[in-house]
Amino acid sequence: MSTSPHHERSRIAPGATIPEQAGEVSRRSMLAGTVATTAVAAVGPIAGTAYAQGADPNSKQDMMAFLLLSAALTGVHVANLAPEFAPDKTDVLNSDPGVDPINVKNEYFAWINASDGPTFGKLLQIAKDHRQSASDIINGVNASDDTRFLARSIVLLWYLGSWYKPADLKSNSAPGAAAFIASQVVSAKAYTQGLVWQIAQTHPMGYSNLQFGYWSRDPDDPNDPGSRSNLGFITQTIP
Amino acid sequence: MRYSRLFAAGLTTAVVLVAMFDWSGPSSAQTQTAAAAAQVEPLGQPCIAMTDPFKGRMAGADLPPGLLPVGDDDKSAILKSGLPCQERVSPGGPEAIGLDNLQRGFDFYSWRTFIAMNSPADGSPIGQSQPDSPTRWEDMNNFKQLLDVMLPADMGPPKWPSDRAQMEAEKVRLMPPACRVRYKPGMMVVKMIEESYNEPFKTGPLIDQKGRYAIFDILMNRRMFDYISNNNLFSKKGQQSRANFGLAVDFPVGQNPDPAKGIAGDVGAFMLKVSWKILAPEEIKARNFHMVNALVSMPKSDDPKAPPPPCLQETLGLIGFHAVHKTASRPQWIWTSFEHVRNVPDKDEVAAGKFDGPYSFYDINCRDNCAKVNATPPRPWTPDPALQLKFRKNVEFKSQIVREIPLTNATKNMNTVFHSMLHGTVWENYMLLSTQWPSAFGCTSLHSQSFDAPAPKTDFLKQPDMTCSPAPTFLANSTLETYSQGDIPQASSSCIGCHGNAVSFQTGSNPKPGQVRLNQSDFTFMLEKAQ
Amino acid sequence: MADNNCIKCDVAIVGSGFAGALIANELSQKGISVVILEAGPGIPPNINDYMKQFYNASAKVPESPFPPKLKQKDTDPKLIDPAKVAAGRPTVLTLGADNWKDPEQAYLVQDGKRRPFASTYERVAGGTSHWLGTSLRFVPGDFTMKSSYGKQATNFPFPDWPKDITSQSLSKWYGLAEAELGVSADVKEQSFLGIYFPSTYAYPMPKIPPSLLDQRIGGALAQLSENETRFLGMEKPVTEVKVRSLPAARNSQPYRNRRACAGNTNCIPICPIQAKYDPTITLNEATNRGARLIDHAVASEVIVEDGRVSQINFVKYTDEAGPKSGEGCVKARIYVIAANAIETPRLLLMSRNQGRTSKGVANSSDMVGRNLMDHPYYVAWALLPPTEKPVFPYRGPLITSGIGDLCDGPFRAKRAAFRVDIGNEGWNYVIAGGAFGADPHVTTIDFVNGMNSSGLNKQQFNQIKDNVALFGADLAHKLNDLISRQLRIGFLVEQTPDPDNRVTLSSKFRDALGLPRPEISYDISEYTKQGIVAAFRMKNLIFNKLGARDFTVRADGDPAGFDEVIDGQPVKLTYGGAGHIMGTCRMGDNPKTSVVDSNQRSHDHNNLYLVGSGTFPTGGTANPTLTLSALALRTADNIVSSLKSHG
Repeated sequence: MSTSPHHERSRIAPGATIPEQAGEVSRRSMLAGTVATTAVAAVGPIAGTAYAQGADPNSKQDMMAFLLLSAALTGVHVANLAPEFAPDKTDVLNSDPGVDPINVKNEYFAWINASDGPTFGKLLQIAKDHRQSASDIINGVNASDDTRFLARSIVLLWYLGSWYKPADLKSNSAPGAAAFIASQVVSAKAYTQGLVWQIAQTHPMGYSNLQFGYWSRDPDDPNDPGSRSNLGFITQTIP
Repeated sequence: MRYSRLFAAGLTTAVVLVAMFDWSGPSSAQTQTAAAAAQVEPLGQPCIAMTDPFKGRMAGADLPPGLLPVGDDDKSAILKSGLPCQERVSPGGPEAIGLDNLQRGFDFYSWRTFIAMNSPADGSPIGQSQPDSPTRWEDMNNFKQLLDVMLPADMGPPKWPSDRAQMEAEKVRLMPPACRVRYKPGMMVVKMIEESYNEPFKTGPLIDQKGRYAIFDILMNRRMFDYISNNNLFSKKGQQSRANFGLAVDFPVGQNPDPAKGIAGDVGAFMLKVSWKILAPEEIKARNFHMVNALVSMPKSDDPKAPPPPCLQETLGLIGFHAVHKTASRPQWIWTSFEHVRNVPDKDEVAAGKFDGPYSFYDINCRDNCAKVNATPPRPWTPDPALQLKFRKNVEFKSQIVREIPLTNATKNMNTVFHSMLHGTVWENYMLLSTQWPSAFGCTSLHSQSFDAPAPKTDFLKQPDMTCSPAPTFLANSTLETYSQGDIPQASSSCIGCHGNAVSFQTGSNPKPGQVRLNQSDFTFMLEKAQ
Repeated sequence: MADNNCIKCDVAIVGSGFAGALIANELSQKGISVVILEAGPGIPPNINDYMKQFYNASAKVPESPFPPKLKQKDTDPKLIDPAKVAAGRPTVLTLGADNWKDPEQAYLVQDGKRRPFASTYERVAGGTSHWLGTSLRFVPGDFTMKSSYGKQATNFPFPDWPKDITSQSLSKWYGLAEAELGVSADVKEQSFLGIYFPSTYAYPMPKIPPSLLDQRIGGALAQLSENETRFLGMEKPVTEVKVRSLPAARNSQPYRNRRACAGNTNCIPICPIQAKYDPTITLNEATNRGARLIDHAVASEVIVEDGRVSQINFVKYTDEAGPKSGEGCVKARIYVIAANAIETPRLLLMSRNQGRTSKGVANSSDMVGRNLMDHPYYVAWALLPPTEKPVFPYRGPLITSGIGDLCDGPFRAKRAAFRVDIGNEGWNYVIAGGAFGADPHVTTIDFVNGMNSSGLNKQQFNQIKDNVALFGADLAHKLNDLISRQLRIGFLVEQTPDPDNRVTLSSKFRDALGLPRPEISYDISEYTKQGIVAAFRMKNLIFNKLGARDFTVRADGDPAGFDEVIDGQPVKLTYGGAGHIMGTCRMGDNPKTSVVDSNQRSHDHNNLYLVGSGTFPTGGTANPTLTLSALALRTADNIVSSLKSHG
């Protein structure tokens, strides 16, 4: 693959659209201090669950913690989980998670919070405490069963758009077990945003935004810095 | 070496000097009388970039206080600013969310586009326009109908002269004989094919309260025409010729001037899709629609032995308007949709019983006798020449259409502002639905002109999503995508999502494994209309 | 039923699938009045609801987008009892060891004494729209099995097709069907094994480009030794096996206002952009020309008087769960039953006419419902080693190429022929024999949860350690590494017609309209089993040439399973259904041994036609859709002549 100038991450777009930056992982330099009050605000947990110990869907910090947690667990860059994410240079937790047209992160946040608010809160705390290191987050998550299995459900949610209950994962977790585990598709949108397909350099079955004949050619490697489509996809480090 | 061909010279960054030429046109609509030549700049010059001067947040339920009335200077600047050559948008701004700032920038750009397009062709300002003032996009110097480009082989290649007399002669040459006898210069001629009454992919016709078909038309500007003409894409034979094997269709982009880089600025490719209602006498009198005196040639029959279809003289009222613009920073194009404010209610209004009719495509008074909401008409759908664009002999069926996705508050507020500036003209009866634009900047900017990329400027090989995450995800006009409204991925109407599937008849894709030969047609279905 | 209240028309058609829609369209074009009775719902204005249901289904089986719904809630463990469904149909979800013979779950009643019939269909306007799109012509040998391969044999199970149906005589109708469906293929590439094309013929659209796996397999089979291929028993020694594009009713260009394929990899069950043809397209044309479609109308009895059909009665319903909401009838000059090869015999057998036709209508031969055939489908999957370049599955249409060159030859005297499908969807529905769900879910769960449903989570394959559970970039890289090397192939094997493989009426189990459900008795013959054995050997050859590691397993308790000894080794084999239901109203020249003649007209009633793949006397190895479409167009022509000549 040839290197070409427009893949330099730090390059800023000249000319017309000002002051947009281009190609940067950090798309937006603006700091968003205000709370996101958007039409797609996250749905709160069901009444009756332990809201106080759960996550706050209106807190940008909690959302950022969720994104960092998710990036650490999935190995996929925050910028792909939240395409409008704008990092804060001093503390990543103060970053703006952003609002993108699809906004699947909000849907997932609400879903997980409604499934098990308290354990979700624990996971977010682990992410906040270890926000510089994906491996530290992973170690923290693996330290106890409740966080470990909820984390696995979260990974499967990002990867597949379906919810596999932590309890079901746990009861099938004997090493080398072979079993069918029931699941629920969270939504049509979630299915189309599943990450495993992109990781496999393809698209969800039934949802392709590619051109006729593409299958006759090699796919792009989303992780290849010389490749056309990349902003970096799989990552060891966060954010 | 991915692409074996660079397309013909100088379309994108060349300095474009558009000749000023005589235009003898009246300031009132119906007929063209010999009048003094007026020097009128064609659409697209000069390129003025502008951001909106409005203070406060539009994304909330209420209009920010003090925003209206818009100051005279601002109003004048906006209404005269002409067709934008390129959007000027930013995630920074008065809104709380970056996406909302960008959307606001695009919505403002869309209104500027709409105003420039619909300003009177005689050069007078839109504030002085009459409902029947011919608009700039209707002028034969600015836009040409698709059917006058994708000609059958026996009509020869399409022509777009720079001389008005020759333009007129070409228009007459391509007119069906049945229309020629009734034609007077200045009339719009609409030649109907199936897509002129049957919505995309044969989803169905739209029938108004008087039982008549809505009519659709597609037009392109000179930049698109030149590209099609120069590359021989107006016929199947041309598309399939050897010379076009390696051509990756890539229409020229619009761009603001940048003297530092030697960019003169140009409007780039623009395409339009419009929808019309046949106006009844009382509607013509009421003057609530932009009106055009038109000759409508009904679709030809499949039966080669059938007599030629009738050419009807009708007063058409504008009900829907898509403008699509390709720019250097958004090579997936920018998709704007407007419609008349009294086409249909939205589903919230229906649920609340809060109507603002009467509507062209929804009957408030049908009670228990209503047609099913958003159902297609009963078949057959093919217009019967004997009925002259009435769907059935009596008004047995009227479409009962509801907008599935209401406008956002931000767009409604933007509409309120522009309606105040257009008050007193027919154009305050038109509203912006939304603007769809590719939002993943890292994706859309890749290989676009912003980055001095090698040709072609638009990259169709991007993965995993060459549509670059359109915002909003779905967009449908109640008159043009009536039956595909919704929010189901792939299935429901999304301008970019659907147009991303457009291909031409070019030979290829990958005759030899690994060889890249594309047939994508740069987000337009026009090329598949080649005969 | 007062017959003066019947709907009247020239031609009444039961069923709006491929055959029904095509015939309705042809007749309407000629001004003939047509009424179509469709058991299921009509055509919706868009496919929003189908797509929504599909996206939200946790089991994306072929039936998943279409009504009637299979479960009350997607997360329910059990399906709705078919006794509580007005117009039900079989589903892949009831092909499990635990439920294929449970009549409270499975629509088709099977008592478990023989093997499962493994194919499904739809009952909705447009019929089995969940088809893949493959549009192959039969090879000449398919029409002449007896005279080509069984002349000497006394009990050769295959008959010949009627004399006037040959590759050449059907060619005109194949061409017309290819135009209506919009088939993309290259004539030169499809002219193998003697398939006839007129010299100037061109397919409507250019062929679909091959996938990476197609190219890989083509390369791997380009140079073979005679020793390796002797087992095939072909006429000439085989030193190369060609991979050819599969002709498909899938647009490679804009065609009739439909978009070209964008590789959504979802042909089955539904193409989100309708680049794949489905019969609603032709149905819309037919209704635009005056045909009348009556939906939610289940034909319940064919009334015969004085040797001719005099009317068809039907039952109406409004709710998916029934009960019936009314009745109706239709009177016509000619009747066409196009309800697929299970529902058509079901209707004929239900039609007792108060004892006057106690064996059913059109059944003097006793062949109605008999000779049920499928293409038993042998599927195999493998993993390329890390030393080989990946093939990147889940890209492009589900199948773009196949191997057809091996489907005819002297071996057909002894064992069933096969065609090879090359799957572009990796291990999607084959992984672990279907025991644990679909991929990429199963592989992903394995590496997240330290399980090994896929067989991949062993150090030998993952290069880490057995039963590893990963997070983060390790997980992502590992899934990319493994999924991109997964591949699958499938073999459609010819089935012998056997009068004991049959559709009858269940005496005990009904649907929610009170109509008896179809009961199936089915097995595969030794001839077909030997075809599967040959397929097994072919699979080994292909995987060896690719250097791929075979992961094919048979799920425990698989009711279709059978064991063979091949080259001294015990081998566990099985078959699935291809969705190709054939044979139950077979065509023939002799009224004693067949149900219809070569025009698909009943031998017993000269104003009754039975159409669709039910009339196939033999199944060959090609998907039946194009052939049944060609025959339908030929039948339509015959109906037009018949109406003209009878005034």
